[in-house]
Amino acid sequence: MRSFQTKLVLPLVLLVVLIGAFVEFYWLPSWQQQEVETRITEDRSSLELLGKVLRAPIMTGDLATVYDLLDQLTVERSHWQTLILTGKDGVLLYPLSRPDDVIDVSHVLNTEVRFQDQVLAKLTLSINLTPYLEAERDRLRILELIMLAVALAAVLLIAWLQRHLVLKPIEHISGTARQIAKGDFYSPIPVHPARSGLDDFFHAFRVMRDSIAEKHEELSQQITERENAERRLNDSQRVALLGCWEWHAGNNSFWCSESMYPIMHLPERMLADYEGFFTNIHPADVGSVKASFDHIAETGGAFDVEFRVNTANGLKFVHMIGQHDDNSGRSFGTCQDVTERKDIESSLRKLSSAITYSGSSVMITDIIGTIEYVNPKYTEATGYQLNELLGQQPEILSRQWMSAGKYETLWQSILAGKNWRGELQSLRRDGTTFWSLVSISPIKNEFGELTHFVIVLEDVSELKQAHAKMEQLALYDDLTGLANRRLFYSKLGNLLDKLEEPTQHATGKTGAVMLLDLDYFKTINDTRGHHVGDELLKAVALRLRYALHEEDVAARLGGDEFALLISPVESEEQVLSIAERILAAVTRPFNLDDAEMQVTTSLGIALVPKDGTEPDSLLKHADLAMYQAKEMGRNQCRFFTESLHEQLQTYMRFTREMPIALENGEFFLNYQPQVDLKSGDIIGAEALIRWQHPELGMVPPPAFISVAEETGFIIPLGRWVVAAACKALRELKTCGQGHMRISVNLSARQFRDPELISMISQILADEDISPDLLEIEITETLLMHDVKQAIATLEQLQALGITVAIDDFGIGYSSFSYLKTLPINVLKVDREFIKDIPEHLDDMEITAAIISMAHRLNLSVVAEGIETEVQRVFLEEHDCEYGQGYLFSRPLPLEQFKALLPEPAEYVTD
Amino acid sequence: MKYCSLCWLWGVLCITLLIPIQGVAKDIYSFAIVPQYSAGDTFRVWQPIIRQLNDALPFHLTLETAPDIATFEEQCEEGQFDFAFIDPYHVLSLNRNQGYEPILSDREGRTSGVLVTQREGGITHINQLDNQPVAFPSPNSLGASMMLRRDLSELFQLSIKPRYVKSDSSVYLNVALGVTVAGGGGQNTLERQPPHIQDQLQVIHRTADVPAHPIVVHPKVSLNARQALVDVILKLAQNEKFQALLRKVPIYQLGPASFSDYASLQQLGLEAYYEVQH
Repeated sequence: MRSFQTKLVLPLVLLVVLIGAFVEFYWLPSWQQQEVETRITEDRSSLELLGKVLRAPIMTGDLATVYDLLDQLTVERSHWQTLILTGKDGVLLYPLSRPDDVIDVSHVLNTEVRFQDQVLAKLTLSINLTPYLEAERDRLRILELIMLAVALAAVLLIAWLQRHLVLKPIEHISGTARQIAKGDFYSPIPVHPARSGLDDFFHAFRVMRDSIAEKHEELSQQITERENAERRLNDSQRVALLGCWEWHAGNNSFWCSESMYPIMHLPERMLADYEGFFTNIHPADVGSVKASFDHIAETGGAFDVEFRVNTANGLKFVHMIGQHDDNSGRSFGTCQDVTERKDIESSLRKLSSAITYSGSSVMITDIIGTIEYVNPKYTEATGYQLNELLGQQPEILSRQWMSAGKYETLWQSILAGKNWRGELQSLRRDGTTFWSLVSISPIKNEFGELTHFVIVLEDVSELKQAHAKMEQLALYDDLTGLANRRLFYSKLGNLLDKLEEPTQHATGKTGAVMLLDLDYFKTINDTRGHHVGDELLKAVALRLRYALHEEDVAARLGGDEFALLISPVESEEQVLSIAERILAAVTRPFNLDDAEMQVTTSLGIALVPKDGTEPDSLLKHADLAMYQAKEMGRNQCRFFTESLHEQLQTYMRFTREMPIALENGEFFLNYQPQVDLKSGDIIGAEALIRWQHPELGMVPPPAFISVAEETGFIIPLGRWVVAAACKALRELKTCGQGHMRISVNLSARQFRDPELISMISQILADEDISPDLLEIEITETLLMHDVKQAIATLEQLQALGITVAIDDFGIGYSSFSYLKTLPINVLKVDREFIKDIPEHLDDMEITAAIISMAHRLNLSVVAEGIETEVQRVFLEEHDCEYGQGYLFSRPLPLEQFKALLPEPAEYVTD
Repeated sequence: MKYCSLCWLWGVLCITLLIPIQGVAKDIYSFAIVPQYSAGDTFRVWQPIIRQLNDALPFHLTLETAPDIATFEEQCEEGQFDFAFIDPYHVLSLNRNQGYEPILSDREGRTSGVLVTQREGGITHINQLDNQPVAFPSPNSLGASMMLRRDLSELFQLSIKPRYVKSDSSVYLNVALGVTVAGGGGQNTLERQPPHIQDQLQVIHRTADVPAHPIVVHPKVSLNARQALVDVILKLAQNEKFQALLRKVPIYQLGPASFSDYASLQQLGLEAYYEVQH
């Protein structure tokens, strides 16, 4: 600012100095010269004028006036050295005395005072202009100095004013400007002197400052935004492995962003130029990349090229796009490291191929189930075209094709991000459906959000059919189509499981298990043939099915045994009414094989959960109830009761205790004699097992035989019986009663035992007993399960020489038609027919018929349960060979039995 | 702000305009001085006095004079001046012709005419002046001319060649330079000459005393005006400075005067030496 002021003031000072110099060295000397001439001229004219003026006073002698004039002139004109007035006669008139000669006379002027032609006086003027000139010069110099001083003062004043009014404010404002330059827009603008005339300037400055501040603010914001944008761009480029480049083909200048270096594998410090750019491009690709550059430089347009870059870690793939701007002549574009994408693409290609050529149908849907992709296998499997499916909702996921529960479960599962696997029905284009094993896998994006579902479908129609078939086979009865035992158990188990849940308890709803079998079914089978029996079973099954609600279960457990599961039930009354309905349904006549047929059934009911919480116990209790119903006279139903429960308790106790009892010898055999009805001789005995229980006393055989039969204990027990019987035979033989025959009952289970024959023959051999002394009694029902196998077993027994008897004949469903095919020797008429003789004529006729028929089949007949002489006579009259019963003897221990026998001597002799 | 400065400017303008208006309002009277000395001297002596008077007077006096005494007397005779400082003998004719009346005169200013010669001029006795040119200021100066010529003519019986050289100062210069051998002037004017002139002169004859020059007033001037002048002059005469100014005239003690003070001059028998100016 001072230099600026110096620059402002210096010209003024110089001007002043120049003016001073001009005055001093040019104007003053010339002025002096001119002044001298002027003075001389003036003085001369003054002198001449004086001459004229003085004429009158001189003529009148008015010297006072002359002196007055001349004195005044002399005083006024200091440069007038001397003025001398001499009269015409040379008398000195002025001054009073002649002055001394003066040296400093520069000029001498003379004039004459004349009157007409007469010279009155002479005026001589000596002038010395030097003092005058010096004085004048000094005066001028002073003036000059004053002017200079004034000029200087003016300059100083101007300088001060400049400083105070202009420069200081400018300096202040410069300071403010510098502050502004530093970015401080809010320092106060300095106050400027009032009336400095800079109001407009300051106002303009303020306006400018505000404007700049505003602009600066805008610019700063823009710069920040731009920096942010640039940083974001750089960051995003770096993160995106993206770089950008620019190339001027005209001057071959090349620029690329920093993010380009790692992409192109260029050294960090390397200065990017066009040639350098190609440093690490795979040699095989350099040509095509350069060609792309050259092409757009020449013809404009754009290019899109992929090339490889050599790096220390192997090849990198770079995708480059470029564009040419004709106006600016520059080409520009980007490069992106797409190695990862390439790898992914490769992987994707593999995966895609795997999906495309997968043997499974694959479908990809978005989150709402819109189809985005299906593979060829899918179109092949469904017959749809790809374009028909894209954008559609797959039926497979629709509510239409699955149950509501399944639909909810499926969507809940997959929307929760869990895989779902299950079987669903799919629709083919032709409208047919097929079952698929469907696996739905939710796909999440990197944010863990569900985006798609991959649905893989395996056509399991055949499998399903096979499975259904298997299930049918496994779970349903082949004959009737009802559930089989397994399925029934399963359903019952499910019901029991549900009942365990507290909600079910609260409802109080329960179930009921009903067990029923057809009364005398075996007889029908025997008499009408198996196919009729089977038809009957099917018809019964159908009726049962109709008699039940949809949710109830009817099952065939085997033979003519059916089980029903009724649930829910409200009360025992309801159960009873259902049971009666079933009884009624079954009782209605069947039209089978062009003949009307009527059957009855006995039905046992166990209530769930009152009568058991296990399937086995419930069935057992129902079974007990059913047996009770049978015992009560058939064609009725019975609820399981506590007494039946006690039977079960006994069952379980016996199951536990019988093996121990066998070891402890608690079992023993009693022998009921069999008598030749003609002769009255004892020909043998039927061995009947007895259990002397240490606590319960004598346990009746029905109480434990069935238990042993069901638990399988009958096998060892049966062996013991045979062995005991054989021992008895041996003992009898020892006593001389070797002709005595002992019959032993075989249970169904024993009969099916494959070891039976070897076991019996082994025992016979061990005891050295003739097989014909041993008689095996079997019941009709025992034969029913597998007739062929039964016949084979019987034949094997007969082959051993053992006699085979059919026990309790007439009460089962045996029929004579197939009896003749059986390899049996003896028929034992059940006591049911005997006990009412002679009261029941029917029984007598049946008995007679049986005996007659048996004889025709070459079977000998044994009548059981003969209690009266009348009966004995009747049987004898009808040629029944043998009999047994209380009329002859109750079952006896071996010793007592032996006592009944006649002396062996007779026998021996006989 | 601009409005205020404009008002201020108007104020200054009005004041500067009003001052000359007030000045113009004063009456103007002429005050003529008999040219005893050169015109320059006359002005140098009287101008300060008139200025002082103007400051005190309710009217304005303008200083007037004439190139020579004859012209002055002629103008007085025409009644051109309101006030005039005149030769005592002139009072007689002016009073008679115009009615001028003396109002003030120097009470101690009685003087006499002196006849001077060059001290080294060789004239030591008045008789040597016979037929010699003698310088006088004017014919009608009472002491310096009429009384001396009467004395030379009647007392010494000498015949001289009078030369009227306009003023007393010229008389002394002519004598000092030897242009004329002798000259007549007033005692009071001689005393006022520079010493180097006085040194070259010697008085060879003195006349009887004559009254001092009076200040006369023309009858057209109001009584108030003439009284005012008298009052002012008398009042100022008490002042040292004014006295110093008056002494240069020279006047030593101003006092009221009247025609009676000068009536006695008629008795001097100077009529023969009085020249009527034309």
